[in-house]
Amino acid sequence: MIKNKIMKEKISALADGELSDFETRRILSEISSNPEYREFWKNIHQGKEALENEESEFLDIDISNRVSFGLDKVQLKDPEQIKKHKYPQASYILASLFGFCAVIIYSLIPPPIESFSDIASQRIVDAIDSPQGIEVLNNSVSGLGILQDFKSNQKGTLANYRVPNSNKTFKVSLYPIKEVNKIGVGEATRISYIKSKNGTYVVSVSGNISTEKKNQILQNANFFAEKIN
Amino acid sequence: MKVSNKDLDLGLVKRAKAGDYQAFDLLVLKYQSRLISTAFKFVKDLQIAEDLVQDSFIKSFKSIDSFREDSTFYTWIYRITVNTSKNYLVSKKRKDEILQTDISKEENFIIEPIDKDTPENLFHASQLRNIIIESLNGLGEDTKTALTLREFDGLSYEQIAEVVNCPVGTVRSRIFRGREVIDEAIKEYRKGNQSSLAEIKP
Repeated sequence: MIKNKIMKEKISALADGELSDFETRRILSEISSNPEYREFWKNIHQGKEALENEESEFLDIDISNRVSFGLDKVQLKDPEQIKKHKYPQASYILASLFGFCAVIIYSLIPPPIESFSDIASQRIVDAIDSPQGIEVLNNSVSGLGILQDFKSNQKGTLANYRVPNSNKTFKVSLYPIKEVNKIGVGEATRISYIKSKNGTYVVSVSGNISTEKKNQILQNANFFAEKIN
Repeated sequence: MKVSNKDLDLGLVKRAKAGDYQAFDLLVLKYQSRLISTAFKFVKDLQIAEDLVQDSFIKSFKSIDSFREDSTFYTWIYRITVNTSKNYLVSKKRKDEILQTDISKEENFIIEPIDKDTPENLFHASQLRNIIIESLNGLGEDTKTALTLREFDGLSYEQIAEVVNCPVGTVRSRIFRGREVIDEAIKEYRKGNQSSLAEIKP
């Protein structure tokens, strides 16, 4: 309260050009950051205008907001905002402290063990994207003849394939069992479970290939999983 | 060393030149009423006058580097406002296709007396002025004298101190006390402004 009065007295002196250069520099930032001081500044000049110019008929018009918005500047006027910004240093300190703690905690946590799903997915991604893709795929789906990837784009555990010399396509997916709802299970979908030390996974095969071939793919998937387990 | 009004404005301009918009904002708050009155004398429409002054401030901020500090900021922004208002009239007249003569010549502009067709504004202004004067009159004698010598006679704090025979610090405190009272009155006026208007309007 006392500080408030002292500040306002300085603002009053400033409006009369009666403040030292040193004090002026200090107080300007205070006025700008405190809406109450800003309003006091405005009212002083409104009062001056009213007393100096009897013909002034637009005393109570304030376009400062419009000017600041026109220049993409934001003004601090809302009293709620004052409360929020009353102790800006405290906010910075808290934010810094929080950040520092987060770094410490993060550095103490051991790096996550890559799950089977992640490894398997990455293998599929690598298989499709790498120059040796066809060879890897052939090995993975042995007995089905040569396969080509239908689309290179697949979302982690999902891959689409096409059988050469026919228009038959199929899709293979691999999910942790808790994510099984992500598999679009239809009548033609065949699924299998893969147990690993990291948990149980679901492999699914769907598409317009024979059931026999789907089963073979599931077996191959199990075999593939064992290799990387 | 004390900062004069001109120096104070220049100090704010320097800060604005350095990119400090908040310093410029204080200049807007200080001169907006006067400039709106100026623009209104040209266009006789409050909304347009406000728009023109807004444009003038925006122009001035964007070209603040071109402001030569040998004149006052007010003279500069006043000139910008007058030119902006004139340009508006030129463009409006062109649009209205009532241009009969070469209006690009400045002397063809005649600033007519203000239309007194804004009773609401006049009512506001006179009410607010009355409130400010009433507050001033209601001050204690010492405070009132100090503030009157400052606002009406434009005396410096030092000159006031000599006149009333007291320290400069006391003058500063008295002027502040007076302004504090006026500030409260203006705030009260703004609070009750809407309800008062509702009662007056038919």
